[in-house]
Amino acid sequence: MSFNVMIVDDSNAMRGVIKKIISMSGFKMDKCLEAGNGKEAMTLLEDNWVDVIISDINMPVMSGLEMLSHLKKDDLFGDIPVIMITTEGSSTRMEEAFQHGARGFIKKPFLPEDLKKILNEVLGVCDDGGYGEIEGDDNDLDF
Amino acid sequence: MEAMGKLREMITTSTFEVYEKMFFIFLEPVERKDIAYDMSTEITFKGPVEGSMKMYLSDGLVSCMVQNMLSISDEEVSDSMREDCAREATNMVCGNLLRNYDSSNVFSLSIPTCQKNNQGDLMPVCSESQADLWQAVFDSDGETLGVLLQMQRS
Repeated sequence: MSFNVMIVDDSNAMRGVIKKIISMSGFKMDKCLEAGNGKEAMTLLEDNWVDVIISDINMPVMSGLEMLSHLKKDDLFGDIPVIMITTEGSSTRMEEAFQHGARGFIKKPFLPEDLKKILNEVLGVCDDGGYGEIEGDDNDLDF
Repeated sequence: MEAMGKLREMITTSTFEVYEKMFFIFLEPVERKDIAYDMSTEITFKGPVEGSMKMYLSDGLVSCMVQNMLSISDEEVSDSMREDCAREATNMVCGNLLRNYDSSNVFSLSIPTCQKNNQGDLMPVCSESQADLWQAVFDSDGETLGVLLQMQRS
């Protein structure tokens, strides 16, 4: 099974490298949508279904945390898992992101295997592409 | 204050990590300070400490960063890609450094800015007496990168 992924980052180069890293990691990606900020992401979601969102935090127009708040209020998009990618990964910042509804967190710079691991974790996928057993009711990750 | 004393080492560690992992570029620290550059970037931060980080990059280094990052040829590299890539590198090095400096507190980082150096200016050299300034210069196959960090307690 492959997944539709949305990458939200104000850096075009960073979106490109995340896409490249996902391909390098061996993660099964179908469609890859790109948005330059949270607002663009919300607009794209109106016409496209995605299985997971990978988003930067610090962006102009609408930040990653603001986008998370909008998503969580929405009946349709509220369950889409969101992985936050950021440079400043303090424990307080991570807690803040999880409180806003983030399902995973990855710190830049990262390796392809780090990204694949977190993608598999939030989607409940084993390394062989099958579904693994997920402990707990809400799939929250420890951090 | 102990962490402040290690800032030059932290600049080196964070710069190495970002350039190796994201750009596949291996840098070597050099003692030379008066380096010429083609592009400079700046990011500011606020938190328990505040200040700014500036990067001074040669065109050749930025082109190599873009090519390695996006797996494209030199002819495909555009000016907007160079600026975007240089800004992102500054964001990552600064965020990484602040995380190493104090991982328990939140820092607010600005959106990085980028400027071309058309006047042939040299990277500013900080003197020993400037207690809130730290500087590091790196080389990679003759291409240069300078990092200047200004930091003080909020």
